[in-house]
Amino acid sequence: MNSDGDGGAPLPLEGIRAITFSTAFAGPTTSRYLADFGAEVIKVESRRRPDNTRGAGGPFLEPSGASTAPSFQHFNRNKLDIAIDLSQESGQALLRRLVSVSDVLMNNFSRRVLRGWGLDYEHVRAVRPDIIMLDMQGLGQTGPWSDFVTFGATVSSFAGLTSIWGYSHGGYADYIAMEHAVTALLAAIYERFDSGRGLHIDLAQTETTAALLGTFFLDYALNGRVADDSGTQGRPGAPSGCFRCLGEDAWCVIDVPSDEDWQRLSEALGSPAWAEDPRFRTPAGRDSAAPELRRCLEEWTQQRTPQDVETTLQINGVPAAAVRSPQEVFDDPHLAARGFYQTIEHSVLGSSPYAGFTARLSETPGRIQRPAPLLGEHNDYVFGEILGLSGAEIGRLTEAGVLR
Amino acid sequence: MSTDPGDIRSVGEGLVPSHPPAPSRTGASAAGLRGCRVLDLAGPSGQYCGKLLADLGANVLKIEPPGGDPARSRAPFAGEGAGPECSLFFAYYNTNKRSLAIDLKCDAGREILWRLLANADVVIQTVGLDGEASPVLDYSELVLSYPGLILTSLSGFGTDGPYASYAATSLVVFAMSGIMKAIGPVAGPPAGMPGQIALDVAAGDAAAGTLLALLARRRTGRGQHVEVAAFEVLATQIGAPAANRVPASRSGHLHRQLAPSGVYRCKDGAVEFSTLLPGQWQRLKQLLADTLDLQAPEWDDRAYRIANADRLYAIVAAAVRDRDKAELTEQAQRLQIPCLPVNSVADFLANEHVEARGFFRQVEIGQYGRHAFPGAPYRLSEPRWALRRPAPALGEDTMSVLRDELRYSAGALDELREAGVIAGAGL
Repeated sequence: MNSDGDGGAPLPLEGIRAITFSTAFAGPTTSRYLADFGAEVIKVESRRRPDNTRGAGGPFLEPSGASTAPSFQHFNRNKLDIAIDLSQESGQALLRRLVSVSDVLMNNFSRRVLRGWGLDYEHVRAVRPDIIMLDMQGLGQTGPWSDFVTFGATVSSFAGLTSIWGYSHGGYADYIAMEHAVTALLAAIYERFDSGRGLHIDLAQTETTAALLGTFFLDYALNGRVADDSGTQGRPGAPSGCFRCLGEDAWCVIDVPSDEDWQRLSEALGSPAWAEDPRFRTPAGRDSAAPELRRCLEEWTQQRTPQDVETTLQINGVPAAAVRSPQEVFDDPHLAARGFYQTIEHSVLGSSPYAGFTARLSETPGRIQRPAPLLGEHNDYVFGEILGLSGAEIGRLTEAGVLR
Repeated sequence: MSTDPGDIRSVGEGLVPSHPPAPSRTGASAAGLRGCRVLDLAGPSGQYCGKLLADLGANVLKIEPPGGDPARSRAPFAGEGAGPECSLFFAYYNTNKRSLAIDLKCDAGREILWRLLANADVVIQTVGLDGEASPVLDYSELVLSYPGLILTSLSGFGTDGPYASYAATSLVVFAMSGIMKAIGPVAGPPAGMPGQIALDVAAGDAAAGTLLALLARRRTGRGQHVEVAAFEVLATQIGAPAANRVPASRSGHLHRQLAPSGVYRCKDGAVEFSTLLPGQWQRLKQLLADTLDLQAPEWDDRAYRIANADRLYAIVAAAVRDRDKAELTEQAQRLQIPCLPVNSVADFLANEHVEARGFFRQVEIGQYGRHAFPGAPYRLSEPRWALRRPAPALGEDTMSVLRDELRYSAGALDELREAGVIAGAGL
């Protein structure tokens, strides 16, 4: 399936087959990374349990009547898709057969469900001893709360991120989990080349978020300091934070980490008299006079648009940016100049741009090989070509509701 | 490392060793990540990449200026300390790395680097971060001498396009990502993400890209350049352009599109729960069965819940205000509602589940004794995550590597030290 269509170098993960049953964000973004770089990723869905980013009830319908959506394509391009009912014994048996010819199995379903399906690591290892299995639940595979259900935002809250991020809801934990999950999987695949052995990865999403709060935990452990949400307005050191600009809901950030940057900032502002205040010459002085500094600076930013502040300060080498809306990101000239967005042609969604490849590899760059799959689009390939079922058998299983 | 020493060519005055580099190591390919040697040249903003690889067993040599990595003066510090060995920032981001103190701004220092490259599989560098205008290494030059080498460059914006020369920090990149206008308090300025999470996430992407390049090298024997721009990593998180035509707005504690999901104050703190699936909404009504306002049938319509999200939030907030967070969590979980307490860093450290899993390790931190240290973000048998050694002292390994591996004589080391090119213990 991983044909070398445009004649480029073989992708790094060609020959790796990964089975994934996971929904929403963390799981699908992890398997997307593998698929972008050549792994044959087979996504497991069913008519009864479609991925929830398909946006049931939305305007985009596949010929079978299943929903699809731009978000689903964002998360699932380059993947194959099978529809199989895992609540049926024969569905579970078929999936175990598929696992026996695969290299990676990943999921974020609860342990209880997996055990019930005979798809937990103990069962899976019995049919494929060198499988790499990634479990990426919110709270992990061990511990008294391991059967708790979670969702991205609750993961952020449990790990401490919400408390220092102003108690806002936020699903950011998914993206933190994803980068760690990809790293763990690729390290395991690399290791397996040498050892020939498979392994189980227990990734608790809450612990990946906690790993990025490392300095906050150490500050507490050694100094007894419990971080609050003051960091949302910048680092210690001044000026650092978000400032009001000209216009409605118009903001910029300015983040000055050093005396050199402070000098450059002062020059960019035209060396106004207030900036000559001797207290502002050292980081400690600027810190202690932070509210005053903020007021003076905001007087300047409020007379300018965010974009104007960004350009004026960045030309002078000062870290600053306009706070963008998502729409402004999509229209951003820098991303356009770098060719970041990739146009994907989809039989139902039409042709539109999608975020490209975050890791740019000079010799083996990621590739869009196919749009997001239709629900069950690859049943014939997977059950016929890979597992060797006859057309009649596939027809019978579809009829019986197992392959749908 | 597949570099053939015969491949070394001149790439510029003063950069090429005056004698052939040590022969490439053999047998490295049989040891997975443990057989990988990484030179970590990253500034403070990009050190999580090397930490991820080092904690999984890669042999990571950190190269810092003789005056010390700027990360050594990053807060927080242990107690009142401010010396190079007191930074908890440094202690966290440099576990399992060795330290070579070498001045890469002079020719003699760069010659040492060039020799180290002969034995390296991967080099990590940051570009345009932490006030460093130009990268240490240029791939087009590097590849001529070391075709098997992988160079990973982490930047804010990449090296082309209108923002190529922009100065980036975690806050700057986050402000540009679109997320800051979609998440956060309704009143006042938008909230930045604390710490350097935005850049650490990008550093995670760089670690993954590096591993891809190592896998590709298994097939081709050749290295490559891996470039990650933090802005692009975050721009991906905002989703698909076609899915986001509605202007985003900050909605504070409430997750409007999934109303009434969100953060709720209760008697002894706060909890967050989600009602992503229709069944979860039904079970939330069951959990709050005493609250008659919620039982009206119109709330079962998701569109109605979104349209009246603020009123719904107020009703639920009043219903949970006097409840105990542990009890609420337990009752909600019994009904399979995703609900967890909103923990402070202190709460997380003390949580029974976290403790049972042993996330925190007791680690000796310099002269400050043993303390809880954040542990493995994932558990796997091989490559095994472990804290094999704490962050290094400045130049702790300069002598052993230069003398024992690169075979510098005692006289040559003295000369380099006196000239200020190298520093470290025992020199």
